[in-house]
Amino acid sequence: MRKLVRYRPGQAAVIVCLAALVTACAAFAPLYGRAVSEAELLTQLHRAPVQISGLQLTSAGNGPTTDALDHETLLSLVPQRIRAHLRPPVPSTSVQVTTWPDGPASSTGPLLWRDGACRHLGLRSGRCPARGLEIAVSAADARTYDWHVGSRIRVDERVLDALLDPGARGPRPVLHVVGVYALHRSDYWYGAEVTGRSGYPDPDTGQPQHDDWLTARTTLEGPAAPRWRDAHTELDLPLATQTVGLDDIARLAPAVSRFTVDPAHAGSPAAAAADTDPWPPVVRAYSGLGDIGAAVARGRAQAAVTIPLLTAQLGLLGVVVLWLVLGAATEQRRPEVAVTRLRGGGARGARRLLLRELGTLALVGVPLGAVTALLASWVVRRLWLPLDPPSAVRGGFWLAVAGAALLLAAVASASAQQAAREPVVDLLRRVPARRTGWGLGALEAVVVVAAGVVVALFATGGLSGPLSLAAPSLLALVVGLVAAHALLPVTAAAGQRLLARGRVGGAVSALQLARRPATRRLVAIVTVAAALLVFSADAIVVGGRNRAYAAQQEVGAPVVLSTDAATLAPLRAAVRSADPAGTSATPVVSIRPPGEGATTTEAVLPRAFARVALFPGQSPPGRLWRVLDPPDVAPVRLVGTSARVRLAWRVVGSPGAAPVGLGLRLLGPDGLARQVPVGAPGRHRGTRLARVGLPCRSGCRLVGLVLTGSTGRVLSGTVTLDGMVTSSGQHHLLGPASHWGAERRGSAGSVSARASGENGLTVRFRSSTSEPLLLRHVSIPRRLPAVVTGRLPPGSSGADFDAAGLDAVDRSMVRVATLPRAPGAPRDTAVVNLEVLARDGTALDSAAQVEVWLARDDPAVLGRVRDALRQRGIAVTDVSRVTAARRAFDETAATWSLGLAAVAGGAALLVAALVLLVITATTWRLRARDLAGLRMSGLRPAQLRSIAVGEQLPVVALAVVLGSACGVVGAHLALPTVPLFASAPTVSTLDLSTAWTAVAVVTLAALVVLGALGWAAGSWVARRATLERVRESL
Amino acid sequence: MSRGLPLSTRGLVHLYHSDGHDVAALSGVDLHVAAGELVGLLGPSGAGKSTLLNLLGGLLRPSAGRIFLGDVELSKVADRDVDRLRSRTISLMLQGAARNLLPYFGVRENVAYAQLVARASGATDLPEVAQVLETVGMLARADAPLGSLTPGQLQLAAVAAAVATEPAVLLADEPTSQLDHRARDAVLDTIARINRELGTTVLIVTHDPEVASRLPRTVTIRDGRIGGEGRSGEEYAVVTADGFLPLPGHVLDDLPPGTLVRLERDDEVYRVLPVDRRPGTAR
Repeated sequence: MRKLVRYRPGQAAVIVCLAALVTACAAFAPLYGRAVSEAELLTQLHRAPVQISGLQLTSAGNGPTTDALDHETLLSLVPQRIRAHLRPPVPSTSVQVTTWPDGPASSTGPLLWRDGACRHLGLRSGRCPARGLEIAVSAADARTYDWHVGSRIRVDERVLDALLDPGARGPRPVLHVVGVYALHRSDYWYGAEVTGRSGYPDPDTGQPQHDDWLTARTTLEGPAAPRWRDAHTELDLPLATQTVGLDDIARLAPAVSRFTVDPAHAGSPAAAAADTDPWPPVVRAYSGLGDIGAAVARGRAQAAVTIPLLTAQLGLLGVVVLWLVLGAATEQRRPEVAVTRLRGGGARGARRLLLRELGTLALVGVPLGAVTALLASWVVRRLWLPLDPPSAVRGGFWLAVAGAALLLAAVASASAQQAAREPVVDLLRRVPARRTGWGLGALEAVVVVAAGVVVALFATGGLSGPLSLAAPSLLALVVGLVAAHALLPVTAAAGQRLLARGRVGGAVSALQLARRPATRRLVAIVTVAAALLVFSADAIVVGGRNRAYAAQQEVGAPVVLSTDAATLAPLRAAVRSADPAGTSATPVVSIRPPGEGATTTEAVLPRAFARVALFPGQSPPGRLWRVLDPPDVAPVRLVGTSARVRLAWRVVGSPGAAPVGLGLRLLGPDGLARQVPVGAPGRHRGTRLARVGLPCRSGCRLVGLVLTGSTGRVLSGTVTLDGMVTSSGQHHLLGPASHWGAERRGSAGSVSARASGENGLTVRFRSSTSEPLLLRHVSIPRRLPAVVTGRLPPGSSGADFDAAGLDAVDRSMVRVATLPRAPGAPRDTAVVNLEVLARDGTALDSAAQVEVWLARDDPAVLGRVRDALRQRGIAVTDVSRVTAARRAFDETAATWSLGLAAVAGGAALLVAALVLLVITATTWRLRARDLAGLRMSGLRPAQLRSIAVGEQLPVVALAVVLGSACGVVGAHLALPTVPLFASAPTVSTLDLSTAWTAVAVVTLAALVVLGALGWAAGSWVARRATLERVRESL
Repeated sequence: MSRGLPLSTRGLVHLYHSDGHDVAALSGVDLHVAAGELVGLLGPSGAGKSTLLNLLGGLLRPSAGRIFLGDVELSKVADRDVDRLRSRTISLMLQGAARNLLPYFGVRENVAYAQLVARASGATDLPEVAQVLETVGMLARADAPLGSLTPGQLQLAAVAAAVATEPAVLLADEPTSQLDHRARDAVLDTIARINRELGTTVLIVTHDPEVASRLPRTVTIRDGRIGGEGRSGEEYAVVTADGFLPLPGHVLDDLPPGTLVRLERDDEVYRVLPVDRRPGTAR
């Protein structure tokens, strides 16, 4: 065997390498799949806050007779199989208290004992509570309520249990402040909002809140403690992440999910006891571990599809190449096979001779491949996957190695079979019979037909699913084999024609090409390799592009600052001062009504928004945003503290009706609307000069005239306003009438305007209720123009629809343009002009998201905006970045699985290069002998080189181009089924169009690499075409 | 191993297919080679010498006729048994020494390999490898790589591999082609020694008149038939089994095909008398 290897060391090395590649592909799939899933699990656990990955148990009393479960009982509810993966619990007990006496100045909040709390906070003053009724208050509470060490606070228990009598007398102990703390945020606190509420109103009662008061256990439990009626107990059990592996999470997550559904009936002894109690204590369990497990399982399923299919394609390419290389090697050994047959070895002896060499070499590659797979797995775990996922060599690995060994043995045996069975006389021919026809071998015909049928099914939609990932390879196999067979007669004919024209060089190249079986192999393999390379490149770029798009769509802009702004004016002022040009920052307000399918309102400053926001996969034209421009009517601006206006009226009313009320609706500099009365015009007809107090020292805008009638009484008539002069001495024109319009006509009545003289305005009205009739200045459009994405909300009529205004109350809007998607917004969104929307002066709804979007992730800009906001009392509550969102999309099993395409593509190119070398190594002697013969007939060395290079280079180029085309078409078929995301984004930005630049780059790279190799190989063979070569026999 | 076996053919015909036509490579060859005889097969290129050798070696099956190896009718033996016969009884040396040897082995290993195949077929009484090498005079170069041997040594190595199992019949196709005189003589001497010492029946195909002159008996194949025979330098015509008498070339110059002749016997002498020449057939 040693001599065999030494006789053809290069060929032996290639066979071993190919066998190792096939084994490595097979063995790497389970290793990488496992590592990806482990990485997914680690990432999920790493990202999840402790309170999400862990388990929290809470218990409360149930009515006057049942107290909350104590901590020990709570712990006993947790099944042992779950507890095994949880860290020691952190027990806590709390009650809600209100400072007493109750009143506007009293505050409410929790009184909390948490085991070991003193080790997790810093004391600004005093000490940690150690005895009953001692408390430590937060630094914020100390400031807000002027509490300090030594303060004594009497409290009353605030009962939350609906079965308890809230009015019943409970304990009213006096608590002693012994310390002022500052919280050290850490996992110990389990995500609890211990501080941050000081002074803020309670959402239920509106009462000011205080932060958690920390106390000793004896304040809440034990014989010396006050008799609290509604104490809650809690156990926080963080996940022992280091004990949770992939196999554990598969069992643990469903177990935790089941447990959290009904913790009190999980089957523990305590639960059984609770079953007999007619008023059992309330027990609740919370954990996000079920979702984490589901996400990991989803990622695992994705990896189980993508990884094997990608590696299988590469492995298949390796098998095909190995088959062809073994075929070439067998062909090279025909004389040796013939010797064996001459010696009487028969077909069996000949097969044994081939298998002893080729089979052994193939099997030597198996352990090498297994080790390579282990090394590659180690490398990707260390260098590619995050958080250093653990390695695990499981049964799948050994199964894959064994499968690869069997496959390789079968391939070696099959390739030996053909030569061994060939008649001895045929074996004795120096060159196998030439094939110039179109005829396919039986095996090739089967492969072409089978692969063609599968591709056709993919293309026509008759077949779908993850197997379509194999479409590029199958398509390339069909095209490569057919092209290879077509090439022989074509080149033979071309060679004859060139010869007839006297072009010896080209003719000989073409004829040589036609007579070499290696040509067919080269075309088929390079086509498949190029297809795999192009598909891989396309898949990677398309995947990256889509993740980038999804991240951009999710965030909306490179950086988005969420704020706690309650009004718009200071926010806009801050943004203006930080970015006067409006090129780097813009405010965006989103109002997302609850409910599935509700239309979100995204209020923006259109031009700045167009510059700052990201529009992945779409480039809305600049003119699109003009449709959101404010109406081309200047608002009526009033400056002063009072105004004078002449009123003339003519009113007819039913008996008993109150006089009609007239008011001015003004929008102040703070952006809020106010209404000031002008006074009530009398009955019938008359005139008077009315004086009106105005809150407009700094200026405000007149946005409407409001008329108010009486309930059940019909009032109609006209009121004329004329000669308005403000205290600043300005005269104001209220006309023309076309600048005014009724907000909405309805059952309440009607209102309209008409001109009156040069300066006046006559308001015609009819009212039957006390509901105000608003005559709106058209600087505020009646129907707000909106650029709409997705569907219009239910109830819309044509282009008209209602969507939430800043105050979350529906406003009339009209669709003036559409976009596929609105940045950072859900699918169904109305993008409106923030300035126009704010003109009606409604207050911001508390649920509105008030954000500042930045055009680039620049710390300087971010700092300026943050400072400007802080100066106006606005805090940045969160900072979202596209880069972070992209990272979250990137760090998933789907992405890591697809990343393997890079390896598959690179390896495919290497395999193609290897094939080129192998074919050169197995045919060079014959080719050199042929060329030497040509040299004898007078051809110059340069001509010989040209012939040798011309024999290979065009074939390689053709195959690369064909393969690239197959890769592009294959990607078109396969990519729709490739999982690009762990979970599909809520707003789809899917763009599977071909990444032409990447395709061009890798095609060019393949042409350069394989072309250079073909040129070098041809030159090398030509250099060996010495005259002595003609006499060579060994 | 028993010594040489007689080899004979009766009415041997071999057709091959070429460009849509059946072409007769051999058309009724009757040949008998006695056990332990050394015979040369002569004839022009394309006469069918190599085809005859391949048929005798069991590489081809005859289209018609029979081949006997001793008592065994080779033309009726199953493929597997032909393989077994080739592993021990018949040895075939192809033209070009390298085609008879495994290139990655040395001389010793090639001999050993031939014996290995024979052992796999059940042979037990095979000679020592060294003995075989000594017989062919290659013991000194036993471990040399084939690439380092001279053409003559390479041919001797091929002879060694061919006689490694002491076959009953050795069929050699042009064993001396492309060799210089010394190497040619060495190879011929070796084959003759094997024939003499081992009693092996030897059939050598050759073009070389000098080689033919050294062989005790030669058989000339012409147009797929036995065209003549030479013994100790004398050339004879041979009457075929069906009564034909192929004339030697130089006689055909005088008696072209189609010539009408009369045969006359005068004691031990046969006279061939041309009577008439048909138009268009005479020169």
